[in-house]
Amino acid sequence: MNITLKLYELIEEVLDVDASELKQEDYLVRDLGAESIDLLELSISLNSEFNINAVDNDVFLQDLRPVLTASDPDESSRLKSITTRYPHISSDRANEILSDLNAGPVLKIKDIESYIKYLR
Amino acid sequence: MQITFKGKTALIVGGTSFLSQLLCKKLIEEGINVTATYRNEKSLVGLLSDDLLEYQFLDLETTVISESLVKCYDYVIDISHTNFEALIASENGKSLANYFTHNISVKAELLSKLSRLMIKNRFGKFIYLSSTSAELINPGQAFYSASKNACESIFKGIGVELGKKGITSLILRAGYINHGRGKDYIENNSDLIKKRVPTRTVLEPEEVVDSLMFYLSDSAKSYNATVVTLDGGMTACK
Repeated sequence: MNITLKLYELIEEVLDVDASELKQEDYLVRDLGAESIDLLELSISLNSEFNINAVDNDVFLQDLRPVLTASDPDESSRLKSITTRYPHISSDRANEILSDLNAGPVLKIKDIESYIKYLR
Repeated sequence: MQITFKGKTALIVGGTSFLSQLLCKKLIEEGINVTATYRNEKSLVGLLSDDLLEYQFLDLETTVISESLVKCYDYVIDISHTNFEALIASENGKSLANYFTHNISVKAELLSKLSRLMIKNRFGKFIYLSSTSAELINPGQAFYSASKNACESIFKGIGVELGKKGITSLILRAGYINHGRGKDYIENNSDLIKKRVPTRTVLEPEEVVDSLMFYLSDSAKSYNATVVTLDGGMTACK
């Protein structure tokens, strides 16, 4: 199964967007307008289509900001707190997230794909 | 006016009461498969039997919901509620924690699981049969009212959160119903009740069930996350 294509199909279904126009770098909330209930529906679809037990908080980085608030303020600690809390997020991606925080919700399609691959 | 039902399956929580059994019968007549919950074996005696009806045990002592109950239903109707008459400051030997576990925590777990399953189908209706006691209480009814209000909020929340996914909810607050423990109270307080109710009547169970059927029907799809009061106008009075 092509995970990327399947994921795009699921996102298309839930968010009523065109799968052929989706990219890994698309933000679920900022670009595609996903609301919390849409993410919930997506989580349910991920579980049944990929045969995984997705935890909503984990796949959608939902407690990212509390995790960072609780971390020591230096860059290295913040980086480590992300990769520890979300083991499917690479250090490079964690760096990106840290520099992107002020612009809004950071969740991208590639994060969900990373999570699926991590669980499988 | 023709009443139609898009859904084919229903769960009635608290499925052994007289009112629930009437509702089972009406739903079956519409070709809907019904699962009705019970809390003890004794309550199964003399109940309705039909190919479209099954009974499932709901353990109110635990918030771990049995897998056999956790399915995708089209309709979920909660008619269950145990009574709890006690003054707040009284020492009556009853367990408040158990009461709230049975009537709030267990239901919350069940509704969480059931609503999640409904999302995939993008269709479903939740109805909670509440009581005018959620709004007006007599001494001794505070805990009962508290649990009714808690359940109302959960049901309302389902409609608010999932409305965009085709899942709606409704709370039906009923006044005095002429059956069971309501009947005894009505008989002993007939004049008082009739003075308080502008229509000078009390509800018959069939009337409540007819209302439930209407609010489950396709004609009522835009009633969502709201409270409808069925009480002859009682709670409108000062």
